[in-house]
This record gives sequence, C-alpha cells and structure tokens, in this order.
Amino acid sequence: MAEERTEEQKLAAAPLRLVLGGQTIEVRPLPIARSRRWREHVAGMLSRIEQLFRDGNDAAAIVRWLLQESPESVFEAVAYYLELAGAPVTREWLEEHATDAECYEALLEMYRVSYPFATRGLGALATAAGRA
Amino acid sequence: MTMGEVAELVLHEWGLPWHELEATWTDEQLEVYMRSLARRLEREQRERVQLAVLLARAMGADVRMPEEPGETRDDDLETALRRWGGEVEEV
Repeated sequence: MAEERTEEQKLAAAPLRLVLGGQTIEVRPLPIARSRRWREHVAGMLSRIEQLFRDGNDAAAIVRWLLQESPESVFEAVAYYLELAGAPVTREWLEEHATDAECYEALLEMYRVSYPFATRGLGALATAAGRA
Repeated sequence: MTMGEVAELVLHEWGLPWHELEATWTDEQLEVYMRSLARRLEREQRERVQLAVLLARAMGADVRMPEEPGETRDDDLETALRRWGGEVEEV
C-alpha cells in the first residue's frame, strides 16, 4: 500500500506508481471532468462497498468480497481508469498479465486520488488495508 | 456545498470558469486549494475578531477571550465575541 500523498505531490499531479503485471506503471491522476466519468462508471461497485460498510463489515470482509465476488468489476474499473489516463497498457495486456490483487491495489490508489475528501467507503478501506 | 457554489467560488477566487478548471485540474489539486482557502478564511476571520477586540478594548470595553476560539465564521461581531467567551459591555 502506497503512503499518503503529500500536498506537493497533489499540486504537481505527480503520477501514481501502479504495479500491474509485475511492472511499475506511472499514471497521471485524471483531470476532474474525466475523473467524474470514471466515478460514474464505478458508481455501482462503490455503492455496494458503501453498503457493506453500513452493514458493519470490516475491511478484511470487504477486501474478500472485492477479490472473490467482484474481480471483474475491479478489473473493469482499473482498465477504464488507465484508458482515460492514456496509460501505455492495453486492456488485453492487463487481462493477460495483471493479477486480481494487483488490480485491487491499483483501484485503491485510483480511488484515493479521485475522492480526496472521502473518509468512508474505499477511502476508509484503503486506510484500513494500509494499517493491516 | 453544491457544485454550483464550488464553481462560483472557483471563479471568484482564481478567475477560472468551471469548465476550464475541470478540464485541467485534478481532484487532488482542487482539494489542496480548497483546504488552503478554508485555512486562509479562518485566519482572516480570526484576525478580524482580534482587531475588533483590540478596538473594543481601546474604547474601554471589557472583552475577555478564552484560550481556544470556537466557530465564528457566520457570526456577527458581537455574537462572535460572545461565542469566544468574551463579555461585551456597552460604553
């Protein structure tokens, strides 16, 4: 789990360093308009996670749900973010090489830069997973 | 705060129409600027109240302040002073 981004990194729009398919890929955070399109794309999955939190599940249970029940959703969210960011990897390459766990870690990073004010949902999950 | 209010604030503070900002700024950049703006407004508000207290004291009012100020942003001067625990006496 990456450390919390500093104000300097945020202001400079420093790239996310995502490990996918065993390689480190640098991806610039999306501008707000494109970020909104990504958030709309993943809204269904995020609302499910919010519901899991409201039902009193801990981070481990939600991670388990993400990895076991929803790997396609995680993959779709990661692939769409990379596409919007113009990252130098194709969906096919990602599908061929990246693991579910890598996609999950990448999703948390993408979520963190897309919801900087969030203190619940995946934001809390990212924090909890980072401490675990 | 609605997105319309954020857009109005952005235009007022940084002179940027919303459509330009959302095409170029990231969510994190907006977050940093919004937090910075909030800190600045809070500091300015605190300084205004401190100045008002100085003036009130100079005019002979008995104004006492606790160590920690409370939320004063939406208050008028007299209410703000009372919320801070000060006692305002008419001269």
